[in-house]
Amino acid sequence: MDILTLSRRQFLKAAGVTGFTALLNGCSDTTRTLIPYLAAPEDIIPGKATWYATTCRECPAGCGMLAKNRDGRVVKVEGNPLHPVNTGRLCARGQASVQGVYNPDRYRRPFTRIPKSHKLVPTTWSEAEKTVLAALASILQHGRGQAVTFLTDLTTGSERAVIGRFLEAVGSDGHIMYEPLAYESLMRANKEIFGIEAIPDYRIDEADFLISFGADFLETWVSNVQFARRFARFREPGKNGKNPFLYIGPRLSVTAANADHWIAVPPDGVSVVALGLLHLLLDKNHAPALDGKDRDRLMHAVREFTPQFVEGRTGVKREALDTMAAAFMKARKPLVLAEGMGYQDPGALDTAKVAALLSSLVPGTSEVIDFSRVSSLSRAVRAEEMKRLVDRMHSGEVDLLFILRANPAFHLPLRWGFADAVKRVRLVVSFSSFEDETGQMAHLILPTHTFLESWGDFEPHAGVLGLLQPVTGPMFDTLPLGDMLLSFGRSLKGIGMFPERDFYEVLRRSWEASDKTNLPSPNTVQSTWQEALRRGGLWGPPDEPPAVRYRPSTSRAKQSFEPQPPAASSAPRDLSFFSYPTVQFLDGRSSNRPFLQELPDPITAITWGGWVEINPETAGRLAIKEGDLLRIRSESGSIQAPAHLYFGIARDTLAMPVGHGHSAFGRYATSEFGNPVYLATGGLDGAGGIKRTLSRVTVTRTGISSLPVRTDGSPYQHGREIARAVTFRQHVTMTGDAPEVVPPLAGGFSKERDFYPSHTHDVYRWSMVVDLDRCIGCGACVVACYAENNIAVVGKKDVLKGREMAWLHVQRYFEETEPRVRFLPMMCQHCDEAPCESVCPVFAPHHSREGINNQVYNRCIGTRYCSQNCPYKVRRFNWLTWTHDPPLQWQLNPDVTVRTKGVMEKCSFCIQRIVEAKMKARSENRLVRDGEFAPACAQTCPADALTFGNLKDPHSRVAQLAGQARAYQVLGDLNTKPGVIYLKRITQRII
Amino acid sequence: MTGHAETSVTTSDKPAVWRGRVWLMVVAVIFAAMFFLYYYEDIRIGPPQPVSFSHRVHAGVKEINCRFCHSNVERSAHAGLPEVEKCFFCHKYIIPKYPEMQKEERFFNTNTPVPWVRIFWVPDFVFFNHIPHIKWAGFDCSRCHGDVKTMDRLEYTKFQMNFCITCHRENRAQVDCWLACHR
Repeated sequence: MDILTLSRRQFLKAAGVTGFTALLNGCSDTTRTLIPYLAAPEDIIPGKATWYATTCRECPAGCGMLAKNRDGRVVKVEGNPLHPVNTGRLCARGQASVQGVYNPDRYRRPFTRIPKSHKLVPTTWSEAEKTVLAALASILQHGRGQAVTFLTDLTTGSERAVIGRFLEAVGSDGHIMYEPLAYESLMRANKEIFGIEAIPDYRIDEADFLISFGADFLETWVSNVQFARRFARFREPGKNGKNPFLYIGPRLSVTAANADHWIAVPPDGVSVVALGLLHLLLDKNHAPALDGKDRDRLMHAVREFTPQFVEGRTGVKREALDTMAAAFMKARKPLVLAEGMGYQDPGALDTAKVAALLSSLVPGTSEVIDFSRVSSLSRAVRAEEMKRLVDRMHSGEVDLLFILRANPAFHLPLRWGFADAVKRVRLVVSFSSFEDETGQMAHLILPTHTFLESWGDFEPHAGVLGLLQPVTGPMFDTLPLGDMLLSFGRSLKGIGMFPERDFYEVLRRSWEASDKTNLPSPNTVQSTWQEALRRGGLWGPPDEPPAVRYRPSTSRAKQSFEPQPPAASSAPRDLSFFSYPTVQFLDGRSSNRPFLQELPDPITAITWGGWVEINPETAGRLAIKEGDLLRIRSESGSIQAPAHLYFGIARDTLAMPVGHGHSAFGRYATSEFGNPVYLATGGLDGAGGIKRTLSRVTVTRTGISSLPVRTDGSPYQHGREIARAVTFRQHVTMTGDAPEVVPPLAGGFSKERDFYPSHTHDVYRWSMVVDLDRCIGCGACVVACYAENNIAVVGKKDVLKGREMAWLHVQRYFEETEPRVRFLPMMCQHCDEAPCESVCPVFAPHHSREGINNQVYNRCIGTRYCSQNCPYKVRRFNWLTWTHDPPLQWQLNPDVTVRTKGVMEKCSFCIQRIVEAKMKARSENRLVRDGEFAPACAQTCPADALTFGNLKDPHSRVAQLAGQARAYQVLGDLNTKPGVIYLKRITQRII
Repeated sequence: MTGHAETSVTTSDKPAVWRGRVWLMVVAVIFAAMFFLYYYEDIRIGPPQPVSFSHRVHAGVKEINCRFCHSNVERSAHAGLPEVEKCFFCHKYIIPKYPEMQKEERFFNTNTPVPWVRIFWVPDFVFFNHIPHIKWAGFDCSRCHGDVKTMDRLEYTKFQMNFCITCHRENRAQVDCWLACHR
């Protein structure tokens, strides 16, 4: 009662004091602490990045990598400019590799599985080692050393050597290196035609004519970054046009989208067209490298594949074939690539043989196929070896199975019964970092370091030795594989056989032994090692001519080349089925990276989750709509996936991306939309690969609709000419013309046109030039941008609501009349006359003196007027405070603000890099040099499509490019005067 | 009757109001005391640190250069803190038995970094860099951090935007949002 007698004034006073105190304590920052080092490390300055050279192990391509370490943890990776494979660039998968280290679904300690409940329980390293040693001891006691099998992905160098030594100690030679993309047919064909069973180095850049039979070399094929780099050089416009490139396959893939023509054929038509082309060329007597006898013999082998036959089977017209042959005959170094593993081509072996034969017809081609630098992929086993392994497991011949990174349970056909076979193995030990389908069957989980935490070496192809070094300390209680094996070996055979302390010593010794400098001084060894550490490995000069020239052997060509035309399908309306590896997930091993799940598929623009592509005409016939959940049945199984209508698929064909439909691979990868290999019949093709295409599947609608989450508004431009193109002829005639560009400089100001006064720029006007003729649409830039700028991953539900946060989109527009694609990287255009700036009530978008449109986050109040007024729709609003599943937040770039709910954000041209470059220039008392730095997107572009620089400097690369006749500004008629200037794509027709 | 009733009301009322006021004053005094003792102390002389390190003794009396401990100030955005080991470069020989030194030694011996309380900071969306201020502009540390040579504990300085922008204007430094501080 008493308190009620307080006057209002007294109450307010009291409340004020209490409130003020509470407020002060609430905001108290005394909880902020500064944690010093105990002892300062030599090479880390807090607040400064340290870069370490290492080798990417996200796929067998083995690109060189520079990893950025900030305050002890790795936050970003970039290509190593010195490395001969990728010369400074990375693909989307490489850019996302840091999310492997910080993946929330990583095993954080060793586990053992309780037999009955099948549950994992934590164990200790010593307990786990005891279990393994007990199993090994009993195996050795019974003299069953051969019952030990070590299954890994492709591994070379010291790691392979240690595994070999360990197995030798056990008395086994069972090291199986399994890669789902093993190119069995390609290797077999090369053996038969060239006499070398290997994947050579294809020097696309030195060829002058390229045909790809389903080889998606810009996405996944063998070494995609290397090929993308070479392809960009190959396609540079010359005097008479761009070097012609034809793609023959059942799907308009990213690679096909970059060809002059995509020649659509059903999957079983690929080999028919290849054989038809060979027939035609022999018929025209165009085989200067063959002698008459062999020509006749070959002609006899392909006699059935006349143009009429090809047209009847595949629908490829005689004229098209004729033009192909004519272009081939004009070329001095024509190169023909074949997919060679049967994903999209049931006749993969025939196609690969024809590709090799076509490459043998002209002597010049031998200069562009380099067998002295064979890919290490050549050492991976054929799928039939895996079949043998499964059979051995079935019959109880395998007692102990070690698995490192390989995931056969996901990749092998269900019919082989890997899951059953594995139950007959007494002990299954998984060394993998993540729980996956195979790991679920393991009794013991001994997680190894991820490659970014490990020492190691990897030889992507002969002559290139990449070194791996830890670029961050181990995140969790994991161990290097080598250390474990050395410890096992020592316990079994004593220190005599395994004298090294740890794997690092093994690596050092092997590098010192292989030191080619031949100088006895220990200092030399040290410096060679240090040089390798600094550079990321050892390799010769990159542009040596091929040391091993294959001889287009006339005698070999005839051997066992008896191509049979595929059986004509009896019911022409049967649906055939194929699957394809994707640029995001390769074979599915990268599916647990949220960046890659959120990255829209370059062609379909679908994020998060699987789909099945079907031609709209076929879909119409079957009354299937976009998003209908389909059940696809083959004779061996059935899977579900939502339909995506896509005209870039041959008719009566279904296509499905590989890598989706994991049943156990962490929270990001797991999806109910199936794994296409589960449909495979389990049969093997002639080269020992899995038969992956199916000539007959049935499709039923489940009645459920599950729309694939797409980020494209429309497949078409609707006549808006956003992504423009010119023909090569136009390109030649307009050379020297003034471009359609209003420069975003003071010179671009005109009283008639402009309402606001012009901006002044002191020294720099940052600007970007996007060459649409070079852009291949791979999406590496998008992931690089995510990683550099702390862009949030929002997940499927919110992408569906249009809330994805990508600052950079690679927009994909189809042409309305024919299956051609234009890619357009779209980011904030940093307009000089920016529509966003004039509508913000609080001046959050602000025009800097260097031409950049700044978004000041702490000013932004979230009215979203700017986004409404932006004609490019590149502004992204934080509808929620997006979270990072721990420990993914460790990947965040400390130089960039993490935005919260209610704030607008967008591309900043990587302002943190601009500031860093200016700081460096200032400390050296000079201006920033052209090309000294690049934003994350331009840094990683494998095709050099993005160029960044100072437009105010007339000698800069951007100023030069922006002066080209091809230059234009997207929606330039709005007088926004964008600072991003595009160069029109150059198209050419040869058919 | 009425008068009697009135007096009885007033006599019984006055002490009630008075009691209320006393109660209020007690509450206010308690709050004021708590505020003074617990919070204002932080403002007045700075928050207590896990080891009572005195800037006055080190920087003032002993005249040790700031850069000896904050050695990254010209190399990195952050001036840096001395590693725990560094204290013992001197204190292995100087007052090693002093209780606070033994406390510090315990941190070192148990591999525990000292959780120093942070005194100076800017919000997360501000990217301050020491290099331009110290190396290029040649400012003395005390320009922003105050006269640390006279302080045992360090006092908080509120770095509001006004603090920065005033000085940036005076010195014709970068005032562009992104090119200067925000990203």
